[in-house]
Amino acid sequence: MAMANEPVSADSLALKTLKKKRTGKQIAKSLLKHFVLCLVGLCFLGPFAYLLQTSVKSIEDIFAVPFVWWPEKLYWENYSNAVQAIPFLRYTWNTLFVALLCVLGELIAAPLTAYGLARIPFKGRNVIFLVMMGTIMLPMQSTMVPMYVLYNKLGMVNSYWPLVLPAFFGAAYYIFLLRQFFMGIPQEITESAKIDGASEFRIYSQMILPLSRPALFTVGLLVFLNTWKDYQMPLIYLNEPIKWTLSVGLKAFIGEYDVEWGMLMAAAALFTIPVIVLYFFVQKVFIQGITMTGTK
Amino acid sequence: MSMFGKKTMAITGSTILSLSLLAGCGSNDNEENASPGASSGSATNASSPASESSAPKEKVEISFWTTYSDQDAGPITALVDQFNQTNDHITVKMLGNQDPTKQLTAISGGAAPDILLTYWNNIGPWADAGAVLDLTDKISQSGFDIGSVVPAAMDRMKINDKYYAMPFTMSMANSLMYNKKDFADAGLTKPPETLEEMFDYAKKLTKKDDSGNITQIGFIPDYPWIDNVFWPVVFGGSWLDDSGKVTPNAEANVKSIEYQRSFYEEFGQNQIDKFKSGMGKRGTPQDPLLTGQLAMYIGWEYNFMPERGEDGPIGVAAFPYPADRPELKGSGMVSPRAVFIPQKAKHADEAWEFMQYLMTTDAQVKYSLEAHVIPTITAALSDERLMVEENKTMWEFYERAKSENLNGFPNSAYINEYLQALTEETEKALKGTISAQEAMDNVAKKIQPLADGK
Amino acid sequence: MAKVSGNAVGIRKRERKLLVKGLLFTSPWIIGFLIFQLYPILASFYYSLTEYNLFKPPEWVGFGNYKDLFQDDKFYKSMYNTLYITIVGVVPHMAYALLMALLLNAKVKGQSIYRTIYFLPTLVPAVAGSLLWMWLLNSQYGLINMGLEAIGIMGPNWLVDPDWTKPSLILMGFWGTGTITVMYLAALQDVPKMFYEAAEIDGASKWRQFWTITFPSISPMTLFQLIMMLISSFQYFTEGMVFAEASQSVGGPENSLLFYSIYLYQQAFSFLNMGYASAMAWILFVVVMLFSLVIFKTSARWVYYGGDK
Repeated sequence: MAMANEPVSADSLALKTLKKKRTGKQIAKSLLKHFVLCLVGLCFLGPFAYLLQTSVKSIEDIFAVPFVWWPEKLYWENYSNAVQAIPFLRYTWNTLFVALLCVLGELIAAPLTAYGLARIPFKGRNVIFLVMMGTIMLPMQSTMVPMYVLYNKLGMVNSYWPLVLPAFFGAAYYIFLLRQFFMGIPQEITESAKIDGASEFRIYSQMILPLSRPALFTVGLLVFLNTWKDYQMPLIYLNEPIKWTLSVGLKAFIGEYDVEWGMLMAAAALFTIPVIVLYFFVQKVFIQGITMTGTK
Repeated sequence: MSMFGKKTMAITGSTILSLSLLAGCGSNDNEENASPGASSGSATNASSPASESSAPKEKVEISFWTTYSDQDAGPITALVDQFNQTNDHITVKMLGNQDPTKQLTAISGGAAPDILLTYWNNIGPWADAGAVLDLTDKISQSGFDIGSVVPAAMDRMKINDKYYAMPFTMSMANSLMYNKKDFADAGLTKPPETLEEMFDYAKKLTKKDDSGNITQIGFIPDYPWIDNVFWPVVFGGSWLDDSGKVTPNAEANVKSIEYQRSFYEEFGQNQIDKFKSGMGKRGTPQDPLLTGQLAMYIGWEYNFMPERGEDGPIGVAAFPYPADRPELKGSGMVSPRAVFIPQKAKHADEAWEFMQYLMTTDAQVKYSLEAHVIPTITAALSDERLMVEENKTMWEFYERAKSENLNGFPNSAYINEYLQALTEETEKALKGTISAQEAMDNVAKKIQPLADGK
Repeated sequence: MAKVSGNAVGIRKRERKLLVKGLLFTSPWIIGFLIFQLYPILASFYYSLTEYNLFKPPEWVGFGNYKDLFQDDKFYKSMYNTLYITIVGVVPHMAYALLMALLLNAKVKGQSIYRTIYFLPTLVPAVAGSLLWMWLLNSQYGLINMGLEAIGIMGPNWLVDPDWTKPSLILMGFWGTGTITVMYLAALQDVPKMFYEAAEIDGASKWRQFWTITFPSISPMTLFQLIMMLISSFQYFTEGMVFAEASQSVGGPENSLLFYSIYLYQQAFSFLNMGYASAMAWILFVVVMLFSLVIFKTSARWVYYGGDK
């Protein structure tokens, strides 16, 4: 471990000297980078900017041809109306509750399983991996009904169990993702600990997990995001409106012949913001990840 | 990388096979465990069995699922509330936003509610599959008069000569809606009477710029969608004869497609496609009929509700008929909304009582007033309570709903395959890749085996 | 002799110990699989050998459904559409996401902001997203065709012309690559910095550094993405439904948007042919499995695990 420390200090030293003599060429290069990032960034800002813009537009402006770039009057009341039209706080809480439980469950189960598949060369692990991958290759439309039958037999219909419980057993997608990360960690790192007689679980919890923080945060983020956005599962399994999640609740604005576009867009914007905030903080972890891997 | 050896494949393969044989049965006998309405508590006690039946004097709670989202649920909620207040032994618990996939999953999965509202074309397949309660006995025992219902709506509830549902409301296409200003600009003073006249009108109402691009169009026969029921109805077509033969290729049906095609021949496929994609979004203030981009439109009773008033920009008339068949005047299609009781409903009797309530003239009138829909009880169509000023735009639709030339697509086990095939083949015929006759012959060839089989 | 057998016992003991450890670690998934997944999967396989309408007990028909499938035009059509979107779409989307990750991994001011912006489209709910797309891709007043016209190209009728509906979806897909970018970003954090320093000293160009250091280091992630995008692309559903809705029919213009999962869904829930739909599901399973196996087999040549010896 000490061995890896030197390059880092050397690196920071090198950085310092580099900073002193930033040449014109480097400045131009950095400008170019910013230019490219800004340009592509604008394209990517589009959908969200569009969402925000439509959320304060009148129905006339939303569909006007040609496109209305800046509406004359802003309909902020779309927001207050939307929040009042559906039990917004209640749905937000429900969604948060389900999403956080799923993150918790997935972060307990997925890394364990992934570790077993990645770093314990036991007989049959390839079979397990194969079956696991197989489970997600079958389209869910064909297993949806038997799945419902099962949950109904377990008495779990109209409860959060069907949405949350599977996470505590790990989803193939995240297990596979973490397996790839764990397989990338050099054996030398754990070898000495093994020789010292550390238990497998100790190696897992005290060496591998800390080393995989970016991966674990990524999994947490993706689980949260996917649960947050999921529509089908809550719709199928939750019967009482008071239990609904936001994605189901958003449907309230979509009538058969009439759509409350302004309110729908305002609610959709509110729906999006918590995940953006969450993402902003999670991606910061990636930067911390660098220094950590550097000192290992 | 020897991750997936042949051996492992073989082993998993055979395990799956042998286990599947064990698991095959037992997926369908799960009704005893179903407690959808009762398990309303928290997750932990969700498995408590239904216990209402033990208390005799207590009200029975039945669950009623609808497709309506909050946006549309107001009127039906009012109706249910009224029922709950007046009925002394039943409480209806309503749940909206339940799309057909969820309905199907829940019924099949053993957690069926007691009564559901769904799209009428689900009734055929679901009833044939055994999911829907046959209402024959209930109708005869309670003396419900089938004759009191608009026949075109009631017929849609019939599968293999039995009634499986009630048409709670119906939508209806037998009107022509048009932009009054476009008509005035073209010097047209009254709506077209016959289909032939309508074609001439369309020519007069279509404008092109110097480079030949359409800037305003008189009529697009497949806008907003390919209508595979409306058009044959207008031409007096049919889909099934008494001997069980499917007849999508009957002369009238083919004619109805050729008529639609003639618009494409007149104005040009590419030109129409291009113009169509530039039209404003339907149902918004930029709706092409409102902006005048489109002059005529197949009207449903829910279209342009405020704008079709006397001083509004949209005019309404009876839809034209073929000049050589004046007896078809007033033809149109109906598309009802069906309420049904699942075969496995726990409280079928109470559900039937509630269903009868939904079909009373009073309930129909009340609902029509609030939701601005067409009642399906004939008596309600003439009810004075509906003839109030704020409901004025509906008046002529109530009148047209009395027409004897209303029709609809026959409901059956294979209805969705049939409709799908019609859409696919009509699309080809409208584009001119095959003739209308060929297209409809294809449909007949494809659907006849299904009709024979089911 | 005695020594050898003693060794063999030792090996077997070690193996058993590994097996116990391995099973313990993987037990969460195994238990979950046995409780929640095994029954639905077996049921689906059994249904595929029956005629089953979701209500009446399934009737055994052997391989009848499979035989019928191979005579179904729409089976081929939907498979073609799905293969199209998979083969044309997956690799460009991945390459693009990787490129974005590399850009976003570079140390620039406002990195956090940029990263958030690139992720935004992934977060926008489909209702808003699809509206925007209908708008952008409109052949008359859409931004994309207006842009093309400015450089003298007559843009196609994206959402109407059956030849262009799938490219429209693929184009739209670029906006949804945010999650892939995020995963690549996470993978890029694990590339040891000293490799680059050594390469810098050797005077290797950035291009060379990418192919000799970055690409091999993140190859486990590339393998993951390739497999997962393959699976999800073969099950392409939601976006196709949204686009088809715009043309008021299930399969879109001339069934050009009839994707495999959509057809399967229609068979299962609209036509009530659950047996047929299950057979479709299992054919898809075999196809995806074959593709995956090929990728896994070849991956030995281009995937490098730091943990390998």
